Amino acid sequence: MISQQSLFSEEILYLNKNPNHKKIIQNANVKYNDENPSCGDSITIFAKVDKTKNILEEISWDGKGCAISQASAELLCEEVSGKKIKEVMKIDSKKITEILGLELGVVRIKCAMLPIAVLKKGIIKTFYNTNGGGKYEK
Amino acid sequence: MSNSKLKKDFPIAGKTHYLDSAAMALKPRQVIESVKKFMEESSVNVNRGLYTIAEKATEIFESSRENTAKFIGAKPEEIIHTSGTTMGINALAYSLQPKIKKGDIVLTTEMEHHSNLVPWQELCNRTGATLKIIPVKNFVLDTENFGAMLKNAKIFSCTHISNAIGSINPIKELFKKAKDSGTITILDAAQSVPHTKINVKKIGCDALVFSGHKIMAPTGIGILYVSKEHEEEIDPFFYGGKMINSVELKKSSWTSPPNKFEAGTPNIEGAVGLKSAIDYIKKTGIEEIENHVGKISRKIREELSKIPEVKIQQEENPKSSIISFTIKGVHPHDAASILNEHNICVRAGHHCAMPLMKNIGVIGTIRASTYMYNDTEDVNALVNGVNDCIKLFGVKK
Repeated sequence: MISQQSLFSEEILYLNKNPNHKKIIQNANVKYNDENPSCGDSITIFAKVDKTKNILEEISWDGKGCAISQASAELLCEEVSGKKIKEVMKIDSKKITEILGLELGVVRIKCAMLPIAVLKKGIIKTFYNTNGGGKYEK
Repeated sequence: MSNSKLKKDFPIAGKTHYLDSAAMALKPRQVIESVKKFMEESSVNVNRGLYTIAEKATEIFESSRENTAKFIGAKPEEIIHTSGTTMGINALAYSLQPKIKKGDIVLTTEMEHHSNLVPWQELCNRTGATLKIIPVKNFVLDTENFGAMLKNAKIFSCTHISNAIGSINPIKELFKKAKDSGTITILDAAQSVPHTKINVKKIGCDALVFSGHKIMAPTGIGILYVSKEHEEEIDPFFYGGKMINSVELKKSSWTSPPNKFEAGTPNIEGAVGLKSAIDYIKKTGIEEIENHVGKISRKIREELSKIPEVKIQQEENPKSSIISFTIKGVHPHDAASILNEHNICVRAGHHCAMPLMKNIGVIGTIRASTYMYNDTEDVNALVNGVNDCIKLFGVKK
């Protein structure tokens, strides 16, 4: 029997098995991939950003990884769709754990933070022409 | 060896199902007490003070060196204190650099922990030497071309037991061939020293490295053995106090080994703990530990093999303390988190062996590893935990 509060709530397990946003947006203007070197999890974020309004219109993801990173990617897509870029860039670990409804330790927080980190790096690299680290491989 | 009596010596062993000894062994009270006693009674610097406590501290420190030497069949002057295996290998990669030139071969294997691969990659980058890698096939070293690979090989550095998949390498045979070719042989014994009788002369290694924390000593202490023959001719890898013979403003000369390799104040408490840890192993009996670890690890593999969703990622009939496996449909990190919720400590991921994980076609594995304090309760807990992983993620083979 599980003795502590589980990381794997029904919602996390459901999102891991039934992702709605796991797809490729063909005409995305943000396409970015990065990995978590400690576990090999890999996430690619696709986003359509309206540059004149600075709004993230549409977002999806693809990749492989643990249930926490996959659920985090799903919930991130729901959270940021239609949001202003300025607001997206403010999302931090506190917000991500709040969205996930989990308390995560120093190791598992990296899993949860992978999708938002990839999205932020992708936005920076695409629109601010600086190297956000990582690379797009697809 | 009375396992239930012995388990009481380890404060953490009674609180959790600890199956991560390949990363770090738990500490018995005897080790904890020895370090505490030293810090309370003799915690002053070694090799410097002329007062009584300083002399006592130096005696204690040097007695640890003698103890380690006896433990692995070496001479005290061949024992160099380091911070651990990683430092030992890096130190060798720097100290051996003057012997390596463009066109030389440095030989290692696809099975290595990154700490026995990256330092050699960097040595080759610095010198223009070529790194050659013995491949892994079906979880074991493919040594078919080993003889040809030894041509122009100046260094051959190899792990005794894989930290990731537990394969035990035929080290005596490989090192004999290497030495016959005039190649310097280096053994990463981090995973074998805790439960395998080691004799550096019988193994035929010129150098050997291991970490104290894997044999119940504190962190930050490790051993680099270098045979007397090579120790005399290689240069120190860092410089400062304690390691000099004479110092002038523009030049210096070094004292004799092992002190010429131990610049600065050493980890004295670590050495005290290491002596106590080796004494604990000696008292328990290394053969008894090896038998117990082999038996309990075999039991884990047998039980896990009965679960259809589990794949043991190891050679056939493995004998080491390491059980490396995957569960169909469950990411290794998720499995480790679920097992943690069952109070079971395992490691999950690539185990700092990324090329090896690529070779076996996985992003990572779940690794359980045993030591003298594990028992059937730990086996049963692990099997139950794995079954719950499968239940939770709802996968069927």
